[in-house]
Amino acid sequence: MKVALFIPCYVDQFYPNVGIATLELLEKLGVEVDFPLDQTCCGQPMANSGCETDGIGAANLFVENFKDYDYIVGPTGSCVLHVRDHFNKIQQTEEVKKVRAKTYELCEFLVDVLKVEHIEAEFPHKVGLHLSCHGLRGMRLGQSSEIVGQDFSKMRGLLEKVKGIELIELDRKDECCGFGGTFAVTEEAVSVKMGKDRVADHVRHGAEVLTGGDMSCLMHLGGIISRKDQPLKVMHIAEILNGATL
Amino acid sequence: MDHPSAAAIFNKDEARTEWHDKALWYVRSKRDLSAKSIPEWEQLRQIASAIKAHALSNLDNYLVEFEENAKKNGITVHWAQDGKEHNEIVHSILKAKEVKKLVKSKSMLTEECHLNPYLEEKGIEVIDTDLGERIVQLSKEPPSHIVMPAIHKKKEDIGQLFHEKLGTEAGASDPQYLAEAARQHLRQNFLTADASLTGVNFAIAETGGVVVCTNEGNADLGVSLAPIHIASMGIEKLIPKAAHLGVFLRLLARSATGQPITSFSSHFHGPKPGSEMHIIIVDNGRTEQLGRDDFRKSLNCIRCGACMNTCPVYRRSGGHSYGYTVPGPIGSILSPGKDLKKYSSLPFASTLCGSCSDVCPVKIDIHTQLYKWRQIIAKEHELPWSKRQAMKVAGYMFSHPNMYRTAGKAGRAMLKVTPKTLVNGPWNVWGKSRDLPPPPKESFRDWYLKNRVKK
Amino acid sequence: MSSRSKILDAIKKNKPQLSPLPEIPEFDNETVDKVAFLNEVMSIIGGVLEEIKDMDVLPSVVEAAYPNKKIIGSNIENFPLTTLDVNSIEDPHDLQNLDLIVLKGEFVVAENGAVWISEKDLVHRANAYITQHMALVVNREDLVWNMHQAYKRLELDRPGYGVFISGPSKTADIEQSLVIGAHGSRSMTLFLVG
Repeated sequence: MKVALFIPCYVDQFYPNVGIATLELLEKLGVEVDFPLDQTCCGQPMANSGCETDGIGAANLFVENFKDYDYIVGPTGSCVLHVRDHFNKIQQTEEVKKVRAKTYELCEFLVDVLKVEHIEAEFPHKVGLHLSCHGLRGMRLGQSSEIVGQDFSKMRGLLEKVKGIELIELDRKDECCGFGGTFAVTEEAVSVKMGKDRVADHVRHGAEVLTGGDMSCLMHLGGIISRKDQPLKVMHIAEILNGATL
Repeated sequence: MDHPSAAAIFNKDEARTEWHDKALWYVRSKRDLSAKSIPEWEQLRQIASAIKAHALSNLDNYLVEFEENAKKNGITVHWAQDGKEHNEIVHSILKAKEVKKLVKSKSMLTEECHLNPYLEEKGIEVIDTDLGERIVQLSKEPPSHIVMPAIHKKKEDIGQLFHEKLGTEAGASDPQYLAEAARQHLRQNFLTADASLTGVNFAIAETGGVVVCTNEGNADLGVSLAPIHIASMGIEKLIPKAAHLGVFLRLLARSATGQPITSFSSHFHGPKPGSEMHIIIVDNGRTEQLGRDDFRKSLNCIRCGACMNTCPVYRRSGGHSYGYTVPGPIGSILSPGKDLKKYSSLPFASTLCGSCSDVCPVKIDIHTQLYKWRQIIAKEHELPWSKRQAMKVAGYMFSHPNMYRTAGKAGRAMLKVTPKTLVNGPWNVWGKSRDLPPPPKESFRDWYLKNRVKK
Repeated sequence: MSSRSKILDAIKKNKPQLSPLPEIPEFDNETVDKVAFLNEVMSIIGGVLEEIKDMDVLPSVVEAAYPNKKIIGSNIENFPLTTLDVNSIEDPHDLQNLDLIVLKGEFVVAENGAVWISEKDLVHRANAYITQHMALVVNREDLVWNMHQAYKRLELDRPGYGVFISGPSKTADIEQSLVIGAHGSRSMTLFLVG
């Protein structure tokens, strides 16, 4: 199985530790991982701003970088969703179709492809799981609270395998954090208020750590936590699953 | 004013923003409980969506069938291409009978057509009889929500308003007391009105009648007393058969307020004895929307307001911040079709979180449509120039790995040497209330080259 | 060209390809205790459910539930509590002092407490809205589970009017506080007979 690691641009630049945790976790699980060196961005920031056509170059480059792998795995629901749903704007060659179908969010890959039963990690802390919207409602990594049906969450399922972890319940289990790409800047007031409310929900329920599958949401929430000097730390889910300590 | 500016003003009073958010979240929570009491909920949504899709795909024939059957029921049917024609028709009906006072129940369509000011200018007194609508009418504001028009007002605001307009005690803000005062005030108007106007929730092709849903009973009290009933409806209200109401009435109130059904679901198939009934079928841009493949599904909307209650942006910016008759997510996909330039900020008033699409009882892909409107707005040059240029540059950079890496390195280096106070200056909108992450010494790629690639 | 033809032409031009009309299952629930469910629903919608054994006891239970009401109307023939013969009224405005209306309904839906009444049973449409209080009467055998079954059974008055009434008139337009008695009935009791 040839697996390529997809590290979103802002993770590459600002959160190398998340990339490292993802890589080490996959290696620990016996996967041979390759990191295509010429990767940049999936093109989502442009597309969500209405400038889909400006993202076409990035999309084509993505396909070029990843076309030769069986699976493409990234620690992000948001960018993976973009590859799957919005690479429909480039010409649908066999390569493009394959890349779209074979790009996985990390937790989804662990659950659906590797069928991981056991996680070698210990994290004796109270943790709040922020379910990022693109992973939740876009990729259906879990059941959103609006839908009537059996509740499930692939991320929660993995965290529950971590020794000593205590997952807290939130008042609003899957409300958006307010990041939303350029929304975070163009709608600054609402974005920040959403983030503050999301953080407050975690603080209210005694979380020591706020985790999630998308560093973009966590960057936004972490920025608010840091500015207000709140007693809470953000960590990407890959870090916890890889056995990080606080 | 665009949405971000209005929303920023709304957020200046943080306590009030929280109050607004919680009031609407409470409604969303009631909706969840109510929906979850029905095991076949998702199936119902699917069926409702398919009925609407079918009705839209055969709409011309259903309208003709509806008209024919309505006429058989003794109803006069009118057609209006736009708001202006609709208002003129209403006026001509009222003028013929020398109507002085019209009582109205909730109708977003007449809001859309700006009927009230039009009739008032012609000397006709218009009384909105839904309590929430009466509140906003008395305070000379548009509704801020399609189901709860005065949800933005606190009971103290309403107490003050009623004190000024209805003579209630100064300082009184008990909802029970205020609602009772409104009851007395409105009852006098019901008893003295010489015509009534209602909206339409559903129009049935097979039977030539319309269904109106209210909790207060205001539509019916108006219609059952006054000698004229005018019902205004958009063309998209058509459903083929009465049996389809079984699906929609199970979904509507549960989605709107969490009630199992509204108190009154009235089926009007003709005037009461000695009275007249008119139905005005209105287009006002709907046929155009019908022709847009990507946006047609927005015509499925049954105006339950669930997308507003669930929208984290709506809850924290208020209905008035949208500046359109129908606020919130659904309004943000309807309004650009009316005036792309004027409403160009609305499709961006969303994080694309998708909660609206999951809550929608008729499965409108609202957040996908928001995304698609964004593409059109950019193409039609309605994006701010700076944003457009930034995206062009980003697009170019991300197509060129070397350039991306150089820029990243430079950015991290710059952040490292710049003092935090300078980084978070007024030019950095991100940094107004949020810190940036501390820049790492190297990118993941740099680390990977050092630690995994064999030299 | 008339607005009618312009609208119809625009639809013809713009409508998508015909999509199929779905079948609607009945979604029956044979295991549920419908009366118990209805009882719970009535309390949610602000009404009261009272089970009575036959029509003979109706006057006494209505009187007990609504003591000292002066002006009482009903669609039940020779209902002994009647003080206003609604059949004799011509102008519905003359119903404005009605304290209580007692109406026999056709059937009730257990899932939402909605009672179906058509125009002929209402006598005046206004009866259901102008009254201060409302008592509805439905036979126990006329209890259906859900709205799909309801529409299978009801006949729409054409021309005419019919309504599902689910609890008293209410509003929550002031700060989401529930107030019973917005315009019409300030209370509603459903008597299930048999």
